[in-house]
Amino acid sequence: MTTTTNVASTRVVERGLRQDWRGVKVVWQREMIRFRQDRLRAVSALLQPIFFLFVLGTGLSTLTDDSTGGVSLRTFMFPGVLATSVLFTAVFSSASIVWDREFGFLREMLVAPVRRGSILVGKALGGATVATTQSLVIIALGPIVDVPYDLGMIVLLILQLFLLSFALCAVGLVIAAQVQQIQSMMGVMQMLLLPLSFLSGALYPLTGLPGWLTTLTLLNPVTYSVHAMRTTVFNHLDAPQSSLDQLNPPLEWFGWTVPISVQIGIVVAFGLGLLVFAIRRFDKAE
Amino acid sequence: MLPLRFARCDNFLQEVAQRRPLLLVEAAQDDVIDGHGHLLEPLDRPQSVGRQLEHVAPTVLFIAPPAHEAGPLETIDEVNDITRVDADQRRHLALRQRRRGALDHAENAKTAPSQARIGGPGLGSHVGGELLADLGGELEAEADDASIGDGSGLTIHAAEHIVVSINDTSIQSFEHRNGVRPAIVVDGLVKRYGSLTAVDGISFDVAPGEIFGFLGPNGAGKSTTIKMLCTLVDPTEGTATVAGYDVQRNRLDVRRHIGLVFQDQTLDVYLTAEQNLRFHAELYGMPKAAVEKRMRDVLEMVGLWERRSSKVQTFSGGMRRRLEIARGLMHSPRVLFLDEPTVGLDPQTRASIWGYIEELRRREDITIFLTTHYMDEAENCERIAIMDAGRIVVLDTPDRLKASVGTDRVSISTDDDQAAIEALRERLGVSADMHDGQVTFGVPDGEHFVPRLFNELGLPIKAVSVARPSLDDVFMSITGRTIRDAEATSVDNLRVFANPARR
Repeated sequence: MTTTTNVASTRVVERGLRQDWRGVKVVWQREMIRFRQDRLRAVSALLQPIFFLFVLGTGLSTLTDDSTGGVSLRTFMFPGVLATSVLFTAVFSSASIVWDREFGFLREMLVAPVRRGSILVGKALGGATVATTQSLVIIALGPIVDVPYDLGMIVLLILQLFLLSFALCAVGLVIAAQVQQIQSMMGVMQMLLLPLSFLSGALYPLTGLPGWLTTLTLLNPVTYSVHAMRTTVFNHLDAPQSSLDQLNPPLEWFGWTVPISVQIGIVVAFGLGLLVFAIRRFDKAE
Repeated sequence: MLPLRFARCDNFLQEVAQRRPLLLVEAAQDDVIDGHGHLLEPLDRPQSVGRQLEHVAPTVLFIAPPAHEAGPLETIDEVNDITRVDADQRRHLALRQRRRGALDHAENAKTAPSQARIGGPGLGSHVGGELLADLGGELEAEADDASIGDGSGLTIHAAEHIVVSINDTSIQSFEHRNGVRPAIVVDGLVKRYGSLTAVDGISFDVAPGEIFGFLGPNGAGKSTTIKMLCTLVDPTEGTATVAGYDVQRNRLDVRRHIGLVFQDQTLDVYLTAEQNLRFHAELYGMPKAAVEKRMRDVLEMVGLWERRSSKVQTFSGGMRRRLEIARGLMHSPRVLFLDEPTVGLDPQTRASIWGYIEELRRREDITIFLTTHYMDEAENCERIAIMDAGRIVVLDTPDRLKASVGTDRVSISTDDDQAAIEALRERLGVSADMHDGQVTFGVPDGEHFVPRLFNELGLPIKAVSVARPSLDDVFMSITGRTIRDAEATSVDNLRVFANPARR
């Protein structure tokens, strides 16, 4: 008799980077599909920054026109508003993983033969893409607040926004890894988003703040991103350098001026660090 | 000393396997293993005997009864030697063996066959009657005890254990040689949630290509077991391998080899049916060329092809369930886990899904592990482990399980059930119980009992039904409760441990 065993016919999923990359790609694509379907989310996410920029900015500028040295408050706020716009979108996008868990879809992804890390990376990249894409609308509104269209500047802004969004998605993922319910997710996010945006210098200059506030802003990674973007924008403004410097003072650690490259490095390191942390958390079996 | 002729061992083993599904064979070079885990084939080509004899394949057979029946052990070490090892000793040896993995050297077999080989009650019983070999030789072994076999009839009693090993210099591990290894090996698996023990030390093997079922009430620990096997939940104790990979140490490897249809919904309701399937295909790295055909196959199977472009949120519960199953079958996993796969589906859809599963298994040699608390669904399985309160209470083929009950189930409705139970005991010598609102008892040959019942009970009977033993009766004969009874009492427990697991 001959051996009749033959179990090789079933295909076994290959392993390795390609498979992981596939995981990243699928999750990213899913984010894109959801983004395209959910126009309302995009509109509502833009509403707040637009309010900040045109309503709050216009209203307050009547108070501040004398002190901003010829630069409109709205121009000043523009990079900050960009940052807050991705802040909300990015963190909310990561929050959807809690939905996925609650409605079971997360499990479909967790048992898939891809590293869990690739799912989270895909999620973070997806969220960052969505957030950055949305902020294009605000960039497009730039000329209204005297921020010119400049290709170099826009490309730089987009890059920086993407890095910031990625880091913020990682923040969202860390929270999502900790909480089990969407309600608690919302609570934690509210608690976190406010300080992240208000302590970043997005809406007011960091000049002459009391020491405690300066310390807090320097502890906030968003600050570095806002400052870097504001520097990018201010480099393309036609305004007296002195007033620009006054509105966008260099960030200093104990008297040492933090270079822009280091600032961007901080944002990236912050994002990657949190991402690794979130992956560790998710990688534990339930 | 009575000779056991291996040339007839096939019959011998078949007979044993009929009685006990508990057989593990470490087989050799020229033997035949049924890849689907079926019984040993008869030695139907006598002319091959001579040839195969030349190879003198190293072969080990092991027959173990269920643990609770463990009696004295008979071994036939080497060719002529017989030793007695008691059950505890054997279990001990078996554990050692399992830790060491497959046999490395022929020397071990020569010097200490009982140590060098095979598993204990655990391994023996989980591999069960699956992996049998055609011994294909005329080697003789001798037994000194007539209870092993009478030399011609080769009968074996249920409680006997036999290990037969034939030494050779080229013993290789079973799995290496044949590429066959159990698709799932579970050893002493325990899962505790706080003070609640959801799974309480279960052990079994599933052979490649087998349809293996877990049957039991809700809360028996079936889903928890699946979650452990699918790397979603870490076991508290014990080990398990799926497709040869440890579920804790090689989680990614396990996940590469499995497919899973969950009990809870895991679809993305904002995507269309088609998008859900594509997403899955992509996650599982299906070749692009295969996706279209396969998608059509599975969607037609569950009758959702027309609705492929609709968002899942517009689907009814039954449609979602069907889509979920279709998705689980998209890629061809080595081991497909189906957790209560057809709950809430109409019989027609169920039949079509089962047809497809059978087809898939035949074509692609998939091992299927499913949990269910539907008796009729369990009958699709080749072997069934009945679970209750976290333990496997029995493991066997559906037919043998049913045969083991030996009685038909008679249910009667009366005006006064207590009086009826009383009368049954006093006048007919039958002990009856209330199950599912009816007076229920088991008697052999139920149809012929009914006339007696009417004549002798002395109470008016409103209705009577006689049923051949079902798996539910098996459950009842072992646990003393019907599955529904068990669910009524365990539902609260279930809640306690299901929630943390169901995140």
